[in-house]
Amino acid sequence: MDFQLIAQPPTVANREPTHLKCLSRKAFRRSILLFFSIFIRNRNAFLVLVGVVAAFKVVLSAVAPASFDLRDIIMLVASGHAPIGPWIALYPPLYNQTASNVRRLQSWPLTASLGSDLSLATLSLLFRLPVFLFDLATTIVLFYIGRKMESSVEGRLMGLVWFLNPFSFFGVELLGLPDVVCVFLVVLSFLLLISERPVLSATALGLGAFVKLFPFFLLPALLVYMHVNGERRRALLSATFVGALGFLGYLGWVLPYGLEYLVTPTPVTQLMPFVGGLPNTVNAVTFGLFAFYCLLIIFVKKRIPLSMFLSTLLVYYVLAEPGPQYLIWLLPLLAVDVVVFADRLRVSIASGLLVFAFLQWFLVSSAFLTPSGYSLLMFPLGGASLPSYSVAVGNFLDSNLVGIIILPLVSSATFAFLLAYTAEQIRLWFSVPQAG
Amino acid sequence: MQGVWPHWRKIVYSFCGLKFLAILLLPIGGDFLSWIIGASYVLQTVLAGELPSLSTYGVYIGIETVLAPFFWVWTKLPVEHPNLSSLVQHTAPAISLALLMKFPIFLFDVATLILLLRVVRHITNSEQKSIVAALTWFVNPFNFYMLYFFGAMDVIPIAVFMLAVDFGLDGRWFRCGVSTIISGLLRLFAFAVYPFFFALTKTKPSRGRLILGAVLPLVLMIGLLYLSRDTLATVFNVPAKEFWLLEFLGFNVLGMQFVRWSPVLVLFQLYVVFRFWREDTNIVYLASVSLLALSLGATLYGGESQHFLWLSPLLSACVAMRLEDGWIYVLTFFTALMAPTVNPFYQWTPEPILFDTFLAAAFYAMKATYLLKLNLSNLRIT
Repeated sequence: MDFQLIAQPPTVANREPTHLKCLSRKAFRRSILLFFSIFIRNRNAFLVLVGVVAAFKVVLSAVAPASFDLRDIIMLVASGHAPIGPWIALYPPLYNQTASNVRRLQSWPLTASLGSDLSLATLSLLFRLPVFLFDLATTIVLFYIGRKMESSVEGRLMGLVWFLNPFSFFGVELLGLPDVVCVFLVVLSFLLLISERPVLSATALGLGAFVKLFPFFLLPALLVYMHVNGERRRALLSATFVGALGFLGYLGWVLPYGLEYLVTPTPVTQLMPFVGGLPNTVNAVTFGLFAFYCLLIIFVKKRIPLSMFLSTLLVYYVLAEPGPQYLIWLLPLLAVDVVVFADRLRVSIASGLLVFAFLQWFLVSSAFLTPSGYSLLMFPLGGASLPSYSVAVGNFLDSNLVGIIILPLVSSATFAFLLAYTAEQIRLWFSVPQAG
Repeated sequence: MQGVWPHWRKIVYSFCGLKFLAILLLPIGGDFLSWIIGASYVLQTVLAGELPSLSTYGVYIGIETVLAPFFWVWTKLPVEHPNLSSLVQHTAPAISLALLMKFPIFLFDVATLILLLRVVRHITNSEQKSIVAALTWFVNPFNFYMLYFFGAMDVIPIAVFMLAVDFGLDGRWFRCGVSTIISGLLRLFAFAVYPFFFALTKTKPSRGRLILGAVLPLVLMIGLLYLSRDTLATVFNVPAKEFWLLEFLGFNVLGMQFVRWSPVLVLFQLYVVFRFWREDTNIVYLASVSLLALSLGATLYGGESQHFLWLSPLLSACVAMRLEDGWIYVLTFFTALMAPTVNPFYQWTPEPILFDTFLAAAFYAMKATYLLKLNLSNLRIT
């Protein structure tokens, strides 16, 4: 021990910033905890809150009109010429493909009011209940992640950040997309990783990639982590194998319907980064991801699984920019990040990102318009005699103000917050060690 | 002080003479004529007993209102007052009009010089550095061309903005907020700088004062809009008429729908400042990087070098504070002067089409370099 150094009085320059930062971080964290304290400190209160919100979600799942995405899935099944693969398992009403049932399903998205018709409400619920279960399962996994990294209190807070978030509610139950299955598998993969089960973690990623492509991009990050963590070569090979198997499974159900499903965005596929673009041009996503993986290999010398997973997804999202609703891919890990680190600036950036992305989503989707002419918020936006508030919303969305000023500013702000949050994550590679 | 520095006042006086000569001899044209016409319309409206409206006169109404009294004085002079479209150059009416209407340029040019002296002296405690800042502003050929040849009235909001910088240095955040927003209402640029000032307001009261200072002129402006019978709809339709305002938003980023480069750059710069900059940085650096980011992101009209005038006093202060960056300063202003939309030597440039892209790219590259350099020199060392 260097006694001389200890004996020296600390200078203002080396004492104040760290001290103040710790205080501010603690105070901020305390203020968040205070707000949620009833629900996160008391197990029963937490369960009651989750139960009430779950009931609310189920009721709205029964009465909200069908989204364009749900209609597209019905159309895909009806056409018989497009891939649907494992997705069909999520939608029980699609199991029965008799002509009369398909006709009934096709008429469902055009029906505005579901509350009065019990059979339609049941149909809507059956379409949305499986994804709701995965939503709930993601909350549970988040709780265990929090408990593993910090304590049950943090676990509950993480679960609530995900489960109470309007982003996930609109993105999961109301749109009815199966992305939440992959989200659940990614979160499960992360839990397995921090529980020192890397091969099982890769298996979860492989299963995710079988359903939708994006979890596959986490596989290189997982392998780099395993390498940094000193895993044996056999474990690395096993992880690569199970991850690649999921990807091959994905290709197995998409490729029989032609290459265009890999290069054209459809409900079941998204633009694949390694395919597409003009001949003899550089595909920006391919270039960006390869460069990112190389940087990851060069710079990451620490065990920072959260930052590695989150920054990979963020970089993919920044490069491919698939649309604001797909931020739910990141949302659970983002919840883990803001709760574990509770840094004022990072929480502000994450909140700004979600707020602006939600606003952008609201504007580009014409207030969550559905094929029935009703918004997912259940006010009419189409039809002959509209109430005055619907006309006002419609006029506002069609105005120059939105098209040429608000939308570019909101979209740019979303992208800027996204870049800043990505920088925040990548910055961790170089400095702050991962908690837990 | 050695060399030319003890004689800096003589240099300034000589340039004052040169600038007056330019006012008298140069023909009325370019942007200058548009300003005179705008001021005359505003004067007519006021004399008719009405308030000029934003929806009629567009976003330049603020500066045109400042110029209107000068135009009114000209109408009272004992000279002929021909129609502006039939004004003959170098006649008594034209010379007197040029003298009166360019006088605000000269006035605010000198005001900026004085404020620069104050600001740099306050930051560096060095008289020599403050003189460097003042002279690089006052004798800069780019500024000389933009102000006295082109007739850029931006110098009016620039001087108001420099006043805000001066108030900020003194910790008078209420006045700083008021001046910044007034400057922004005259020309939109200052709005991009405003959030950066929060990096310097360490306490809640000072933050509150900065916010209150911004709210006050905005409330007054809304009151004036109401009195001039403007509605929100007509105000928001202004960019549809003056489409070039939207050019400030910049390119689409990577071809992404609706995402524009300029707000992304400014917001990302804001993040860099709050996360990575030293806490003892100064207001000049903050204002410079925000405007550099804006200028780098904006395309065409917004990114043209005529709007680079906004950065000129700030970069003068920056170069005075860090003399080793002099080469970047010189190259930046050289490329700004040579950029295709301003280049006074354009007609003599060999193969203008061939050189257009080269000169424009060189100017953008220098802006990017300056932005990077200022960021690097303000990074927190951990």
